[in-house]
Amino acid sequence: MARPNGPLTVCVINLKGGVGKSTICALLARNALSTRQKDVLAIDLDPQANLSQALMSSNYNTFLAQRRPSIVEIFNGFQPASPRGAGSALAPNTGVELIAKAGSNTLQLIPSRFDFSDNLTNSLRPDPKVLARFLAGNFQHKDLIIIDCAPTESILTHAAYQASGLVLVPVKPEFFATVGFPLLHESLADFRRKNRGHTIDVAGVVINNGFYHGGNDGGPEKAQALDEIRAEAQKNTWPIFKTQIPFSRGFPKIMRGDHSYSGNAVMFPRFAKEFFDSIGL
Amino acid sequence: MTEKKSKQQLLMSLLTPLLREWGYDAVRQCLADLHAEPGKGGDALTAQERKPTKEHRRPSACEIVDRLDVQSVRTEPLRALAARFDAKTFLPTASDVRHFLEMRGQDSGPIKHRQDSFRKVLEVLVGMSEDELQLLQAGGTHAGPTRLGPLSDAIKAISSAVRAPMSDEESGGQQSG
Repeated sequence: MARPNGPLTVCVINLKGGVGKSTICALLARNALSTRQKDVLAIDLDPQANLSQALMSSNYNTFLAQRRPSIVEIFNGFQPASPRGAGSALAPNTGVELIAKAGSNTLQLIPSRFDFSDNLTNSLRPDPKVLARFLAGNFQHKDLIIIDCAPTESILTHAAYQASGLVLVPVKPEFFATVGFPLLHESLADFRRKNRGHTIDVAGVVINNGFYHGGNDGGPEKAQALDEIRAEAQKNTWPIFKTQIPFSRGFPKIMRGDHSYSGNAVMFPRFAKEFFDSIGL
Repeated sequence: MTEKKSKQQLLMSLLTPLLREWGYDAVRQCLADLHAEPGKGGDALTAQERKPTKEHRRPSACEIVDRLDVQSVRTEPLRALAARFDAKTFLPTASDVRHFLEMRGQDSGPIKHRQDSFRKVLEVLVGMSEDELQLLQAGGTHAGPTRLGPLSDAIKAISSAVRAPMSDEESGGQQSG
């Protein structure tokens, strides 16, 4: 049953690459469907399309080859003409791929494509409210919409903010990853200044121990980075989730669609539970 | 090979005390008499002739689908998936089966043999809508890990088509729009 106030829309962002955004998005989306029995839409706003590749697996190659519509067409606002037919307006299900179904709930995905970056490199300037309008018009029945953002601030970041009410910030406890914090804070502050009618909250920061395993739990560098993360988070009044995501060689295997080894990745549902409980899913 | 060797060792361990007690000729003669006498081992089958113990043969996925009573319209996609399951191009490992079931809210339980798990998979497949079945049938979303090569080829193949350079007019039009 749909939520009375519409879906919870969360964008997963850190203005620093390699902190685990796409992996966390993919696993949260799957967990929301399979464990929480929720109706989920995942959106890939990153031209690298890692979330799409993780959720669609080898189907992604077929999606590319068949030139099925993607987030690119949603931002363009129309379905281009093809040898099979004329161009058309966007249908409610344009660019929506079915990933899995459990009972009456589905996990759907609006996939990305590498040429999505043309929105940044060319002199085109897409409307940052396009995505928010598309979602408001077509996906009110969803329980959760989760958006994977690109790590560089751009019009696509603003599009994610426009569509979202919550922000999840993954961070790795290492110096460069923490630098994304002040950048994100300023980005959100700027967005709020320009969109005073829009409330967007940081749901929390999740520590992703992607670099550290072995005996000393990261040693003094991790300890210092964690201290800095805590201080910055407190300054910004961003909560930090108690459950950290452990290091695991299982995560990249799972993202590739190889389920032969999970390792510590089996502990991810603990974070998913804390996160979903905290946002009221 | 190991089983054969252990059987040989057992036979030798049984014969050794007999040979020690009665000697080779007496034992050999006794064996010959027994073999010739009906009802006392003479009509017994030799080891080679003995029927093997009845092995439990697991039905193939296709056989399970063939026994299924479903609408004929659904038989074809189910049988196609079953054939791919048997060929290990659909859910190729037990861990893929586990993931497939868990993603659909099913408790996979312990999976000792991948082949045995098909009945659980089939329960899920039977409950699927036709578009879902088609998705599985066409896409092979669980046909094993993704590899960079095919993805790279797919990107190269469509790159020029989706990234055709814009004319000045198009570019200007979109800029102003």
